Amino acid sequence: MSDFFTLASLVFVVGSGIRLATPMLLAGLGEAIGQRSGVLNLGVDGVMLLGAFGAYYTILETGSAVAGILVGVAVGLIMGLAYGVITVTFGAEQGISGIGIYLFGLGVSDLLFQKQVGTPLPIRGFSDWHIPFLSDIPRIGEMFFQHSVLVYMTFLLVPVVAFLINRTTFGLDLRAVGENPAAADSLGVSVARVRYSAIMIANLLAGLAGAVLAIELGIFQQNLTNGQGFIAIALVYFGAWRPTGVMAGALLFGLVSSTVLQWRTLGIVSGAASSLMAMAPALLTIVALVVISRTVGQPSALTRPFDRGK
Amino acid sequence: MRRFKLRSKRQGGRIILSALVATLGLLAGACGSDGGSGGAATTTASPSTTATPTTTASPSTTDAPATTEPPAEFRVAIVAPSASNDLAFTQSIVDGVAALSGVTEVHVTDGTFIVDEAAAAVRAYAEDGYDLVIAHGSQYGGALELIAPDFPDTAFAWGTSGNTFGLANVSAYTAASDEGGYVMGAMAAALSESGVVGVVGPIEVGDAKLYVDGFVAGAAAQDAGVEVNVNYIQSFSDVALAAEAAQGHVANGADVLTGTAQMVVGATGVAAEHGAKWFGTQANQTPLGADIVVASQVYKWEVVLQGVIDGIKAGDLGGEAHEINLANGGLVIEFNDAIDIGDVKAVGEAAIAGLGDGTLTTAGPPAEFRVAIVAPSASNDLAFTQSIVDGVAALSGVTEVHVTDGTFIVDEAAAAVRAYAEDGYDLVIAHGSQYGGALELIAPDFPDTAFAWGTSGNTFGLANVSAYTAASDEGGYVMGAMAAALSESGVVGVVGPIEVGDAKLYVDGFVAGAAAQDAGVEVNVNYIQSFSDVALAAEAAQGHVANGADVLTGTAQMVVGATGVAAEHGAKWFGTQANQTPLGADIVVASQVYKWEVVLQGVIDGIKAGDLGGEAHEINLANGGLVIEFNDAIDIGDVKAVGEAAIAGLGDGTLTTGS
Amino acid sequence: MTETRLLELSGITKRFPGVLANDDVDLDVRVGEVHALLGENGAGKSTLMKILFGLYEPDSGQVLIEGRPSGISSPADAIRAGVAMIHQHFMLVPTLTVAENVVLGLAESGWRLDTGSVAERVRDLSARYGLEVDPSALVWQLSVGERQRVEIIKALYRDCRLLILDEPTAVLTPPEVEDLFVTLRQMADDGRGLIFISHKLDEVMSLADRITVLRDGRVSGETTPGETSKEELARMMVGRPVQLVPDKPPLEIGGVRMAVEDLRVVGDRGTEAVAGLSLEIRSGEILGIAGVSGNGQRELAEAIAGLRAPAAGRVLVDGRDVTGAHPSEVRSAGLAYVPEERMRDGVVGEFTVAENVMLVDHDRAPYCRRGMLRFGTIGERARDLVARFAVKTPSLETPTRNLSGGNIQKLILARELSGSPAVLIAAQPTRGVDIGAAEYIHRRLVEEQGRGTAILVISEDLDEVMALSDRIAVIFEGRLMGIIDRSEVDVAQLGLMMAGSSNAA
Repeated sequence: MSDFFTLASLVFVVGSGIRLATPMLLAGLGEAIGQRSGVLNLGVDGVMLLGAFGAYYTILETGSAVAGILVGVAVGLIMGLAYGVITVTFGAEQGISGIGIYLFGLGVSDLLFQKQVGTPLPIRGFSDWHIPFLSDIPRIGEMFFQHSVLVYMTFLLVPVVAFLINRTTFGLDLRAVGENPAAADSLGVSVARVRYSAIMIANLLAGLAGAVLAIELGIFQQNLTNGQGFIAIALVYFGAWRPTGVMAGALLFGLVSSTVLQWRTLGIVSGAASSLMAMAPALLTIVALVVISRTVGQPSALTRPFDRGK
Repeated sequence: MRRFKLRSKRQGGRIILSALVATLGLLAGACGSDGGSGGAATTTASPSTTATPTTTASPSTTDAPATTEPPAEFRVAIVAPSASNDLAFTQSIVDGVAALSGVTEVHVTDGTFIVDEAAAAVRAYAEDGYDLVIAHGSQYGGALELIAPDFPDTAFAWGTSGNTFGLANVSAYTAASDEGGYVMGAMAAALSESGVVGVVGPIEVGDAKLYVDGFVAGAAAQDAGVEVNVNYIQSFSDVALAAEAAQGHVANGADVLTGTAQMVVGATGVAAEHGAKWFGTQANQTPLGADIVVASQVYKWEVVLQGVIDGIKAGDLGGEAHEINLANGGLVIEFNDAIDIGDVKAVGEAAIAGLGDGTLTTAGPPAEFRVAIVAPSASNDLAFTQSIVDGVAALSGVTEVHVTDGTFIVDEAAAAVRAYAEDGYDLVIAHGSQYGGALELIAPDFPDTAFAWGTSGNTFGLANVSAYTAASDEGGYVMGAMAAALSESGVVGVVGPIEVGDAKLYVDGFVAGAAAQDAGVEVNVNYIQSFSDVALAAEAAQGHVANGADVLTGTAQMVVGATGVAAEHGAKWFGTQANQTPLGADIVVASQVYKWEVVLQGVIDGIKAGDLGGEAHEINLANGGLVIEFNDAIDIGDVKAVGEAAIAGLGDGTLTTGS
Repeated sequence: MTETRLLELSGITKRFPGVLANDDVDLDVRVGEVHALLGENGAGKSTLMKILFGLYEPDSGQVLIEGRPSGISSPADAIRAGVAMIHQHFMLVPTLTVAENVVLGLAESGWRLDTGSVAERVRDLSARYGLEVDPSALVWQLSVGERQRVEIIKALYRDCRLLILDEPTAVLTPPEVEDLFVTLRQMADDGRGLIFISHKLDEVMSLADRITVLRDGRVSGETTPGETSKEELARMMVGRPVQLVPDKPPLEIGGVRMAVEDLRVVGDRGTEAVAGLSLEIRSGEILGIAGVSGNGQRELAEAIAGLRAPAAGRVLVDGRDVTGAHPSEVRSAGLAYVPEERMRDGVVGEFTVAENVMLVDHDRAPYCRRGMLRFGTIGERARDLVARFAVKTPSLETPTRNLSGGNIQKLILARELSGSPAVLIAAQPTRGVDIGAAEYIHRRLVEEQGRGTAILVISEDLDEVMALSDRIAVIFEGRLMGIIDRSEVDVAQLGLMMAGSSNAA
């Protein structure tokens, strides 16, 4: 154990946890906005995969990481529009529709990858940006200020999204529509418009999350996300539908993962114990969910289509 | 009430919509894995030597049993689909029978393109006591199979086919018309000035397909730059359509044409009209255009029929299959000397000679052998799945490969394995040790299908299951030794999936090799407990680097995340399962590559010989199934010698991996 | 006095498949007037208001606001036209603050949420109209009365000209009703027009300037309180004379048939809903429980009926201790129960009328033999009860959910009374029930009293409690505030007790 508690090791674990947390945090922020409007999207992982492939392929072809980000965002917007049509305009059952989106994303991203790329070739993304002065602080700088710009962007989005939800008129509409759409409707708020907007933002961030994942890893592979989109959904519940809560959950998940990883690297755990440890992040999430779900209510109208006059 | 109904209807709509969306997703999912394999992974293995099952009966010398008696009566009847003078298929048999000796009477029923009519004629001839009834048309096979047993004392012959239905009174005959086709194709390619050649065929089966395939192969062999356009018009009789097809070829620039079956008479007219040259088959077609028909492949059925008749007279009513070809003189290329084709004739003659003495092959259709692969990750994962896909692609004697990849869910894989077996694939490969349990249940249900699975040494005692495994600890040992020699920091990192099977072998070998090379080097092993989590593999590599590692390795498909990290930090990488140089030309020092074909070729050859499996196979350095491929772009100095010493030592047994 | 027509609805017709919800309805509201809209359930009040608020399009007819076509086709249009509506089920978002609820949907507030200035205006309006509420409080923390005030503030904040109130008093205590009426009157005096929807005749008589009565989708009368009486309004609503207060026979009180001793029951939220309550009911007596909704009435009834285990105390039915006993034991001790949630606890909606009649007795002879139901005898009994209790149903095989509320309630009453119980608990016996059916149910209850049954009536409708009860027990937060004899009832005092002041006098 002593090896683990060296400063260098702890510094690495924190930095690693932040990197692991980034894509799921991005997707989770989006999903939080969507769920606040009363729309559950189980297809996050599929949208992430599409965003990841879109970004990867764009960078492979053009070499421009910025173009890759833009394509990831565009893919997210397109999927958002589709999901809006399905769940808002046609009022389809959200659980099943979301699974459909997931399977679509999983299949299409793989299909396009096999057709267009074939053998996975590495891409170059953004190099790490060592923030001047801050990154020079011993330890602290290494942990927090020597990451990719995408990591900073993601964490800066937390207060932005919190502000959007809590301090803007749109956020008020969002919360009202998610809790009591009939009330919002009776005050002239267009439930459909608010939900469409929320879904578009949610999917935009999911597509962006996928792009960030692909760019950070510098590679694409079938099912690259490996279920991170579903973890993002769990994080929304974990975080009680609050951006800061989602961030806390993502960081916790990332830190537990990186800790277990470091233990294995150092040979602190191995064999059967190692297999058990692999479940730690998931177990922790489940435990947290059980505890939290007892105290905090989800948006009352979550998964419920709105139909005026009903 | 009514309002309620309205609502429920609407809800129904929603449910249907939801289901639709889900189905769409599923479809896309299915497309994803299936289409993926269809796009990149389904490869048709390069055609191999023709393994023709037919045996050639050498034209027997007549050994008459009683020379004193007057010639015994021997009556032959022919039933054929088109006219006796069609300058094509039917004429070939009529001419052939006419050339036979020892035949006292020949009767022909021609134009019976309706099978029922032909069957009635065959039966009537048999009842009439004909000594040999020839059903000249592959479409008559079914009828003959029913009729022949009713007349056990009558001999039948039919073609073109290699199938006697196991009946002792049926002879089958076929023509290696691909040989003539090849000769014609070579000449056509040499003759064409425009570089475009047109082919008019009937339906893509039997003799016509043989000829056309041979023609295409010959043309390609002569000049790969020549474009051969093939148009099967889906009719044996539509002369007008054949003419139109020929017009089409000419319009597309063809200046040399060929065609097979009786409807081509329409095409030769078009050729004549436009001054295009023509190559004929089945009979000498010079009469169709003395100034355009360059050469014809002529069938001499008498070469094999004489033997059949002699056999009948000696009491042997049949039971064998015969083939005419260039070597036995049953196929003859007849040139039209009225046309001077200069050197092109030499091309033809060279082809004839080559085919006759076996130095050339028509590369006609090889015996069909279909292989299916079910594997857990993507076909191009530069790792486990790619190794089997590449391995199968390198096999000879395989006509079709189909891959279902990405089936990391065992149930899905099991369903795919079962579907392939039901589909009649000759070999179904379940590529993943996790599939063993499913295979053990499935294989007994398909005793005639061969299965292979790996990596494992267990065949479950089933005679139709082959197991294969890789001694990847050997490669691991070599890599480990090199890694230890290469590392400057004295720390080496390993990223593994789960501590089982092939991954464990490799990692254990690696650790042993590193220790053997330099016991002072620290090897940190991190099994991340996932085969698929790319992000986690990347973080594991980050961890190794943070702990001072300057050389990394890893196994399984998720390591593509780790190589990126290695590249970023300038760490060196050792790959396994496939050549991973594409992942980083400046960091991948060497890769252990699996050559599954080394053992699978034996498995396939065994299956063709009737041995469906039951054995376990291993690839290793000694048998060439494992190969260490170095990336010459990286100069590793003496370290390469370390690797080569390890390879040599493991190969000759002076070293062991210790596992 | 110039009487400007604020609103004029003329010839409004709205048809749903199989139902003519509004048939050529005319209605007008003048500036400064409270116009009451009266009618039974299904008379077309809600449809008319939804048309006015832009939730439905009328098939024909005209909506004029200040003489001009309203052009309202959505709630947003209605709000812009100065129309506001307070729904019976509040249109509030419980997780938002009062200020946030008020500002929701207001376009002029800009993209940034500025609850500070909103809160200030809310306080102004509160002060002016006596609508005390904290702008920063979360709505779910507020009482029902406070929530209604938020709804009114929402309307005032939007400076509505015409306010529609759908059954606003259903959830209020008498003092709250009085306060509300003061506010409403003040709003009318400010030059607004109010449409007050209710079926409580007393309230309509005391508040309204004019009254329009709807029956079966048509206007059945238009009058003013000065020209009419409660009896006449009831007649216009039902279409025949109605006896609003049942004739009570002289009391013949016998021995104690049911007693509750120091009963304590834990509610759904985990808090003590009934906190040490003791009651006695004698043979031939009706005891009414008065109280504002949510003060332990439901838990009390459920604990007595065996549907909820008491935490402490005793329940005696006809002398037998049935504390915590299974409902079937309580029933066999002589208890009959008409539950508050009749669709949830009283009947199985998908079952037929006959099956629901047999829900209690289906496992007994003569309706069952060797585990097999005997449909012949069951049918006979169902037919008999349906006839005796005047249940209007197309057939015995009709799924019960297709019946009206009143007929379902009569069906339950028929089933419960058929066993000649010693004790009857009737929870909210006429809630959501037409006046006609309510009149019938009241008569049956009084008849049952005459048979010597001890009856506990639990109702949030104070008029009902006063009309039926021989004694009235007032509860507040699960405790007994006091018991008042029929002859000594004083509405003002009842109201105080319902709001938690104990009957010290």
